[in-house]
Amino acid sequence: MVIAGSPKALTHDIYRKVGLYRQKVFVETLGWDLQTRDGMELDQFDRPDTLYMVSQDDDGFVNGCARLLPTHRPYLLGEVFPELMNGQPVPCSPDVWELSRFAAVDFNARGGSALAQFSSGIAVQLLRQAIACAAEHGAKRLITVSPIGIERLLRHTGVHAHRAGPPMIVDGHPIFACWIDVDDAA
Amino acid sequence: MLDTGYIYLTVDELCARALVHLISGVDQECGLTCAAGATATAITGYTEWVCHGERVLTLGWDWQMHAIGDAVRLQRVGPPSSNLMLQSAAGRDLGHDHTIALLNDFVDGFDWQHATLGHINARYS
Repeated sequence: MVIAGSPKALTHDIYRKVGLYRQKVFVETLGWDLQTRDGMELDQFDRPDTLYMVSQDDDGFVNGCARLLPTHRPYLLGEVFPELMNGQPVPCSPDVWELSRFAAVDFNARGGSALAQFSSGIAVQLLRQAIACAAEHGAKRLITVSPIGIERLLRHTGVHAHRAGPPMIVDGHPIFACWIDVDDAA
Repeated sequence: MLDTGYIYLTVDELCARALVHLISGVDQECGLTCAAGATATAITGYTEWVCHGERVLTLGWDWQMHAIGDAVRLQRVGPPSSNLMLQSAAGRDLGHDHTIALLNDFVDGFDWQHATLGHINARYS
Protein backbone atom coordinates (compact mmCIF):
# COMPACT_ATOMS: atom_id res chain seq x y z
CA MET A 1 0.00 0.00 0.00
CA VAL A 2 1.34 3.42 -0.96
CA ILE A 3 0.14 6.58 0.73
CA ALA A 4 1.04 10.14 -0.21
CA GLY A 5 0.92 13.46 1.52
CA SER A 6 2.59 16.23 3.47
CA PRO A 7 3.99 15.53 6.97
CA LYS A 8 0.73 16.74 8.48
CA ALA A 9 -1.34 14.41 6.32
CA LEU A 10 0.92 11.42 7.00
CA THR A 11 0.52 11.57 10.79
CA HIS A 12 3.45 11.84 13.15
CA ASP A 13 3.85 8.08 13.45
CA ILE A 14 4.29 7.44 9.72
CA TYR A 15 6.51 10.50 9.30
CA ARG A 16 8.79 9.13 12.01
CA LYS A 17 8.81 5.69 10.40
CA VAL A 18 9.90 7.29 7.11
CA GLY A 19 12.78 9.09 8.83
CA LEU A 20 13.91 5.88 10.52
CA TYR A 21 13.57 3.94 7.26
CA ARG A 22 15.64 6.50 5.34
CA GLN A 23 18.34 6.29 8.04
CA LYS A 24 18.41 2.51 7.62
CA VAL A 25 18.54 2.64 3.81
CA PHE A 26 20.70 5.62 2.96
CA VAL A 27 23.02 5.83 5.97
CA GLU A 28 23.33 2.26 7.29
CA THR A 29 22.92 0.28 4.05
CA LEU A 30 24.23 2.56 1.32
CA GLY A 31 26.73 4.41 3.52
CA TRP A 32 25.76 7.91 2.43
CA ASP A 33 27.14 10.71 4.58
CA LEU A 34 23.86 12.35 5.59
CA GLN A 35 22.74 14.26 8.65
CA THR A 36 20.55 12.42 11.12
CA ARG A 37 18.65 13.37 14.24
CA ASP A 38 16.93 11.09 16.73
CA GLY A 39 17.81 8.13 14.51
CA MET A 40 16.02 9.67 11.55
CA GLU A 41 17.55 10.83 8.29
CA LEU A 42 16.03 14.26 7.68
CA ASP A 43 17.44 17.34 6.00
CA GLN A 44 16.52 20.95 5.22
CA PHE A 45 14.24 19.83 2.39
CA ASP A 46 11.96 17.91 4.73
CA ARG A 47 9.52 20.75 5.25
CA PRO A 48 5.84 21.10 6.02
CA ASP A 49 5.11 21.54 2.29
CA THR A 50 7.17 18.52 1.17
CA LEU A 51 5.20 15.64 -0.34
CA TYR A 52 6.06 12.07 0.64
CA MET A 53 5.25 8.72 -0.88
CA VAL A 54 5.30 5.89 1.63
CA SER A 55 4.97 2.20 0.81
CA GLN A 56 4.10 -0.16 3.66
CA ASP A 57 3.74 -3.91 3.84
CA ASP A 58 0.72 -5.71 5.30
CA ASP A 59 2.17 -5.41 8.81
CA GLY A 60 2.69 -1.66 8.55
CA PHE A 61 6.46 -1.77 8.03
CA VAL A 62 7.78 0.83 5.60
CA ASN A 63 9.32 -0.84 2.52
CA GLY A 64 9.65 2.16 0.24
CA CYS A 65 9.61 5.92 0.18
CA ALA A 66 10.15 8.94 -2.03
CA ARG A 67 10.11 12.70 -1.67
CA LEU A 68 8.64 15.30 -4.02
CA LEU A 69 9.55 18.98 -4.04
CA PRO A 70 8.53 21.74 -6.46
CA THR A 71 11.57 23.37 -8.05
CA HIS A 72 10.34 26.93 -7.54
CA ARG A 73 11.11 26.40 -3.87
CA PRO A 74 14.46 25.19 -2.42
CA TYR A 75 15.27 21.61 -3.45
CA LEU A 76 18.19 19.19 -3.36
CA LEU A 77 19.52 19.51 -6.92
CA GLY A 78 19.16 23.28 -6.97
CA GLU A 79 20.85 23.85 -3.61
CA VAL A 80 23.38 21.03 -3.32
CA PHE A 81 24.10 19.51 -6.75
CA PRO A 82 23.65 22.26 -9.39
CA GLU A 83 26.80 21.06 -11.18
CA LEU A 84 24.92 17.93 -12.24
CA MET A 85 23.02 20.09 -14.74
CA ASN A 86 25.99 20.15 -17.12
CA GLY A 87 26.13 23.93 -17.33
CA GLN A 88 22.40 24.37 -17.78
CA PRO A 89 20.44 26.46 -15.26
CA VAL A 90 18.71 24.47 -12.55
CA PRO A 91 14.95 24.17 -13.06
CA CYS A 92 12.83 26.73 -11.26
CA SER A 93 9.16 26.20 -12.09
CA PRO A 94 5.96 24.91 -10.50
CA ASP A 95 5.75 22.65 -13.58
CA VAL A 96 8.94 20.82 -12.61
CA TRP A 97 9.16 18.77 -9.44
CA GLU A 98 12.11 16.99 -7.95
CA LEU A 99 12.02 13.33 -6.98
CA SER A 100 14.57 12.49 -4.29
CA ARG A 101 15.27 10.01 -1.50
CA PHE A 102 13.70 7.26 -3.57
CA ALA A 103 14.12 3.87 -1.91
CA ALA A 104 12.38 0.52 -2.17
CA VAL A 105 14.29 -1.75 0.16
CA ASP A 106 12.12 -4.34 1.85
CA PHE A 107 14.06 -5.28 4.97
CA ASN A 108 11.52 -7.93 5.88
CA ALA A 109 11.61 -9.74 2.54
CA ARG A 110 13.27 -13.14 2.46
CA GLY A 111 16.09 -13.58 -0.01
CA GLY A 112 17.49 -10.98 -2.33
CA SER A 113 19.87 -8.22 -1.56
CA ALA A 114 18.91 -5.01 0.19
CA LEU A 115 20.82 -3.25 -2.57
CA ALA A 116 18.59 -4.70 -5.28
CA GLN A 117 16.16 -1.91 -4.54
CA PHE A 118 15.62 -0.71 -8.08
CA SER A 119 14.35 -4.03 -9.41
CA SER A 120 11.41 -4.82 -7.15
CA GLY A 121 7.69 -4.60 -7.70
CA ILE A 122 7.56 -2.16 -4.82
CA ALA A 123 9.94 0.15 -6.68
CA VAL A 124 7.84 0.08 -9.84
CA GLN A 125 4.63 0.80 -7.94
CA LEU A 126 6.26 3.54 -5.89
CA LEU A 127 7.73 5.25 -8.95
CA ARG A 128 4.44 5.14 -10.85
CA GLN A 129 2.52 6.58 -7.92
CA ALA A 130 5.16 9.26 -7.30
CA ILE A 131 4.87 10.38 -10.93
CA ALA A 132 1.07 10.36 -10.70
CA CYS A 133 1.16 12.33 -7.45
CA ALA A 134 3.49 14.94 -8.98
CA ALA A 135 1.19 15.20 -12.00
CA GLU A 136 -1.79 15.81 -9.72
CA HIS A 137 0.13 18.74 -8.24
CA GLY A 138 0.85 20.28 -11.63
CA ALA A 139 4.14 18.67 -12.62
CA LYS A 140 4.85 18.24 -16.32
CA ARG A 141 8.33 16.90 -15.74
CA LEU A 142 10.36 15.48 -12.89
CA ILE A 143 14.04 15.96 -12.26
CA THR A 144 15.83 13.55 -9.98
CA VAL A 145 19.23 13.25 -8.37
CA SER A 146 19.90 9.55 -8.03
CA PRO A 147 22.43 6.75 -8.36
CA ILE A 148 22.61 5.65 -12.01
CA GLY A 149 20.93 2.39 -11.03
CA ILE A 150 17.58 4.16 -11.14
CA GLU A 151 17.80 4.13 -14.95
CA ARG A 152 17.12 0.40 -14.88
CA LEU A 153 13.95 1.04 -12.90
CA LEU A 154 12.87 3.82 -15.25
CA ARG A 155 13.32 1.53 -18.26
CA HIS A 156 11.54 -1.34 -16.50
CA THR A 157 8.64 0.96 -15.66
CA GLY A 158 8.40 2.14 -19.27
CA VAL A 159 9.01 5.78 -18.39
CA HIS A 160 10.79 8.04 -20.86
CA ALA A 161 13.78 9.63 -19.19
CA HIS A 162 17.09 11.10 -20.20
CA ARG A 163 20.16 12.41 -18.49
CA ALA A 164 20.57 16.10 -17.75
CA GLY A 165 24.33 15.64 -17.65
CA PRO A 166 27.13 13.23 -16.88
CA PRO A 167 27.40 11.36 -13.59
CA MET A 168 29.47 12.81 -10.79
CA ILE A 169 31.45 10.39 -8.66
CA VAL A 170 30.59 10.74 -4.96
CA ASP A 171 32.32 8.30 -2.58
CA GLY A 172 33.14 6.11 -5.57
CA HIS A 173 29.55 5.91 -6.78
CA PRO A 174 28.13 7.72 -9.80
CA ILE A 175 25.13 9.96 -9.20
CA PHE A 176 23.44 12.01 -11.87
CA ALA A 177 20.50 14.25 -12.67
CA CYS A 178 17.77 12.76 -14.81
CA TRP A 179 14.69 14.20 -16.51
CA ILE A 180 11.53 12.12 -16.33
CA ASP A 181 8.58 12.77 -18.63
CA VAL A 182 5.41 12.97 -16.58
CA ASP A 183 2.96 13.17 -19.47
CA ASP A 184 3.94 9.75 -20.82
CA ALA A 185 3.80 8.06 -17.46
CA ALA A 186 0.94 9.70 -15.62
CA MET B 1 10.07 26.28 -23.60
CA LEU B 2 11.88 24.26 -20.95
CA ASP B 3 15.42 23.26 -21.89
CA THR B 4 15.80 19.68 -20.77
CA GLY B 5 19.48 19.44 -21.47
CA TYR B 6 19.62 17.38 -24.65
CA ILE B 7 22.70 17.61 -26.82
CA TYR B 8 21.63 17.44 -30.45
CA LEU B 9 23.92 15.64 -32.90
CA THR B 10 23.71 13.74 -36.16
CA VAL B 11 25.10 10.20 -36.19
CA ASP B 12 28.11 11.43 -38.19
CA GLU B 13 28.79 14.12 -35.60
CA LEU B 14 28.54 11.54 -32.84
CA CYS B 15 30.96 9.21 -34.61
CA ALA B 16 33.44 12.07 -34.93
CA ARG B 17 33.50 12.60 -31.16
CA ALA B 18 36.11 10.91 -28.99
CA LEU B 19 34.55 9.23 -25.99
CA VAL B 20 36.63 8.95 -22.82
CA HIS B 21 36.09 6.31 -20.17
CA LEU B 22 34.79 7.80 -16.89
CA ILE B 23 34.07 4.92 -14.51
CA SER B 24 32.93 1.31 -14.56
CA GLY B 25 31.74 -0.92 -11.78
CA VAL B 26 30.45 -4.36 -10.90
CA ASP B 27 26.89 -4.52 -9.62
CA GLN B 28 26.96 -4.55 -5.84
CA GLU B 29 24.22 -7.14 -5.58
CA CYS B 30 26.61 -9.61 -7.18
CA GLY B 31 29.39 -8.51 -4.86
CA LEU B 32 27.30 -9.20 -1.79
CA THR B 33 26.14 -12.53 -3.10
CA CYS B 34 29.66 -13.62 -3.89
CA ALA B 35 30.89 -12.45 -0.51
CA ALA B 36 28.26 -14.63 1.16
CA GLY B 37 29.78 -17.67 -0.50
CA ALA B 38 27.12 -18.25 -3.14
CA THR B 39 27.95 -18.90 -6.75
CA ALA B 40 27.11 -16.02 -9.02
CA THR B 41 25.30 -17.03 -12.21
CA ALA B 42 26.42 -13.89 -13.99
CA ILE B 43 28.67 -10.96 -13.32
CA THR B 44 27.12 -7.72 -14.44
CA GLY B 45 28.00 -4.08 -14.15
CA TYR B 46 27.94 -0.66 -15.72
CA THR B 47 30.29 1.57 -17.67
CA GLU B 48 30.22 5.32 -18.14
CA TRP B 49 31.77 7.33 -20.97
CA VAL B 50 31.92 11.05 -21.66
CA CYS B 51 32.97 13.41 -24.40
CA HIS B 52 34.14 16.79 -23.13
CA GLY B 53 33.07 19.96 -24.85
CA GLU B 54 31.10 23.07 -24.12
CA ARG B 55 28.58 20.69 -22.60
CA VAL B 56 29.62 17.18 -21.67
CA LEU B 57 28.11 14.33 -23.65
CA THR B 58 27.33 11.36 -21.38
CA LEU B 59 26.73 7.78 -22.42
CA GLY B 60 26.43 4.79 -20.09
CA TRP B 61 25.20 1.22 -20.36
CA ASP B 62 25.09 -2.08 -18.50
CA TRP B 63 27.17 -5.10 -19.40
CA GLN B 64 27.40 -8.77 -18.63
CA MET B 65 30.65 -10.71 -18.37
CA HIS B 66 31.09 -13.94 -20.32
CA ALA B 67 33.94 -16.42 -20.12
CA ILE B 68 34.94 -17.86 -23.47
CA GLY B 69 37.70 -20.40 -22.95
CA ASP B 70 40.43 -18.55 -21.08
CA ALA B 71 39.19 -15.18 -22.25
CA VAL B 72 36.71 -12.85 -20.61
CA ARG B 73 34.34 -10.85 -22.76
CA LEU B 74 31.92 -8.05 -21.90
CA GLN B 75 28.65 -7.68 -23.74
CA ARG B 76 26.30 -4.73 -23.59
CA VAL B 77 22.92 -5.54 -22.06
CA GLY B 78 20.10 -3.04 -22.28
CA PRO B 79 20.06 0.24 -24.13
CA PRO B 80 22.52 3.05 -23.45
CA SER B 81 21.44 6.04 -21.41
CA SER B 82 22.53 9.49 -22.47
CA ASN B 83 21.77 13.16 -22.84
CA LEU B 84 21.72 12.81 -26.61
CA MET B 85 18.94 13.44 -29.08
CA LEU B 86 20.11 12.33 -32.49
CA GLN B 87 19.00 14.28 -35.53
CA SER B 88 18.72 13.67 -39.24
CA ALA B 89 21.08 15.47 -41.60
CA ALA B 90 18.24 17.93 -42.12
CA GLY B 91 18.25 18.76 -38.42
CA ARG B 92 15.06 16.93 -37.49
CA ASP B 93 14.93 15.13 -34.13
CA LEU B 94 14.86 11.36 -34.59
CA GLY B 95 12.95 10.81 -31.36
CA HIS B 96 13.61 8.75 -28.27
CA ASP B 97 13.20 5.24 -29.69
CA HIS B 98 15.18 5.85 -32.91
CA THR B 99 17.95 7.55 -30.95
CA ILE B 100 18.19 4.54 -28.63
CA ALA B 101 18.34 2.13 -31.58
CA LEU B 102 21.18 4.09 -33.19
CA LEU B 103 23.05 4.36 -29.89
CA ASN B 104 22.83 0.57 -29.54
CA ASP B 105 24.65 0.26 -32.87
CA PHE B 106 27.13 2.97 -31.95
CA VAL B 107 28.11 1.31 -28.67
CA ASP B 108 28.39 -2.11 -30.27
CA GLY B 109 30.63 -0.63 -32.96
CA PHE B 110 33.56 0.51 -30.85
CA ASP B 111 35.93 -1.19 -28.46
CA TRP B 112 34.76 -0.16 -25.00
CA GLN B 113 35.45 -3.56 -23.48
CA HIS B 114 39.22 -3.14 -23.21
CA ALA B 115 39.10 0.05 -21.15
CA THR B 116 36.20 -1.20 -19.07
CA LEU B 117 37.89 -4.48 -18.19
CA GLY B 118 41.12 -2.66 -17.36
CA HIS B 119 39.26 -0.33 -15.03
CA ILE B 120 37.35 -3.18 -13.41
CA ASN B 121 40.53 -5.16 -12.85
CA ALA B 122 42.28 -2.16 -11.29
CA ARG B 123 39.31 -1.16 -9.16
CA TYR B 124 38.52 -4.56 -7.68
CA SER B 125 41.91 -6.25 -7.56
